[in-house]
Amino acid sequence: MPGLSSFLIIVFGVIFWLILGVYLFFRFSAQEKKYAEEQKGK
Amino acid sequence: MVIGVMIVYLIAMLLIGVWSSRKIHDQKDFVLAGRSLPPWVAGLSQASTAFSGYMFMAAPGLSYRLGYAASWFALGDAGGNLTAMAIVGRRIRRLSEILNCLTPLEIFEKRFNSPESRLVGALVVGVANIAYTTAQMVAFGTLFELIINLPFAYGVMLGAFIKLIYTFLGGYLAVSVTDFFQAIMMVVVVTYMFVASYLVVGGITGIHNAVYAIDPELLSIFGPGKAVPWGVGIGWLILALTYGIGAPHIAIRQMSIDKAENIKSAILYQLGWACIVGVVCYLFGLPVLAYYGAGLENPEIGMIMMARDILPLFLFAVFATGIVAAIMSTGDSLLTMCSSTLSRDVYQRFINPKADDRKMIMVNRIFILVIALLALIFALSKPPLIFTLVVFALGVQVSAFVWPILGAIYFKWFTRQAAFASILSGGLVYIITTIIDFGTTTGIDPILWGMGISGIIAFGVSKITQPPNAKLLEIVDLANSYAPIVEDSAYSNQTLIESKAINEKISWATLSALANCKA
Repeated sequence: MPGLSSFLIIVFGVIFWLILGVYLFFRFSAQEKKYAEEQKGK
Repeated sequence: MVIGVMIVYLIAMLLIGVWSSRKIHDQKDFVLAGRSLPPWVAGLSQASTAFSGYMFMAAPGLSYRLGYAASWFALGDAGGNLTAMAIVGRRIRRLSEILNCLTPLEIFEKRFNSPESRLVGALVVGVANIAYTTAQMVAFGTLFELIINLPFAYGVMLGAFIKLIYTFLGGYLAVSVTDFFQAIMMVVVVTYMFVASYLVVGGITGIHNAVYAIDPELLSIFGPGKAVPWGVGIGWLILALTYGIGAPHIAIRQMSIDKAENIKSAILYQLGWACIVGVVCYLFGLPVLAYYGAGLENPEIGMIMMARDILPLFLFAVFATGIVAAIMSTGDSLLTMCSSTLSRDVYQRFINPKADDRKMIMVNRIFILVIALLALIFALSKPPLIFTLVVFALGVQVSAFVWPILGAIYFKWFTRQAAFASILSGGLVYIITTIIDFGTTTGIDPILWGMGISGIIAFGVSKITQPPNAKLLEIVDLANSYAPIVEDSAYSNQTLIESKAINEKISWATLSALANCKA
């Protein structure tokens, strides 16, 4: 199919953003949890 | 049928305006919805604000003219709000609360101790947002002209009137709640139009074959005749990835969320939405090209024409209403942003600091009327392509504001003079390089010139000017931490007074007045 590479650039780009978004959600949650535990320890 | 569905929708929006008006008690409620937006409203309203009538007209028009070269914008738009919320969202929310700021420009003054940055920033916001509002009104007039044969001028005026009424009544709360519903409507109509348009021309393979027959280079990400070289493509990508940081009408969504920690949830809400609407709208030009062939007189209305020709009447009516929703969701935000900038950042700060909340709500509403009227006059003169106006409005704001906002949060070396120089140079360079079409001459998009020169100047000026006071930097540390913000504005007022006294040697009375200029 002509233009397949351009189409795939968009598909993989969207997948990249979705994975990054989910990763950031859990990373930010972990940071908040870590701060809360540090406060408990003090 | 089409008119009936639209009337139902418009009445619903007006009712939300009336409902919101009952919840407004002070300026903070009118300008920032009292910092009370839940993450799903903040996330989806930010997304729908970022995606205007541009997405239904200019974006398909771009891919109709340039094929897959529009992917640069599509990929940027899919992740643009994600990057904005992840990089500055939580921090800007906390910083604005600590400093008791109602507008992004107010942060510049209080964080950098720089009223001149606030003033020149207001000028940039005013110019850019009037151009942007004009584009939305043109989109309205074009849409009504096409679907119900209403003369362009009447369509422009009707759209302006509806938007004006509910924004005037309900302020930012009405805008956010209507944006939320408009976001849902947009994703529904985009999804079914995408499926219908691709099926009717033979799916992805059928479209690619048809487009290949017209011009094989339309299937390249650089466009026909390499119309979009690397320098321009990357410029488009960066513009789409950064306008959530640099455009105040979008950035303010992050300041109005109920809790800073809810930004992470808002990221997910808007991301799922943007990955559908942000990408699909840029691909619509391809089925339009396959369906009608090359040579449409106005490619920006191609998708609407196709919807009219292939959808059942009811679905077309809902689709057309979805476009109205897209136009309204951005146009209303621009009106409130521009009016709150002029009222809070110019009128209350520099003309009448003693204006109380009641007066400020009234001033806000007057500015809403004035801005809408100005945009209406420009729109009636049928200005250039919607694409040109929107990209210009976003580009000038991103060039001017991205570095100062990043500097306010991340760069402790960023000085008062650097903030001012960065805003001024970024805005001017973008405007000049756009006017002389420097992007075509050099193969490098004006956004890269604007942001690049603005950043270099900010860095250079910071190196040769007095470093910021340590007290101000304590605020940055607090904003970047997870520590609770104990009392609204108490910390900031005290710190600001001390730091400004040390830095500026100006009178305590002036400083107290500034710090006490509370919401």
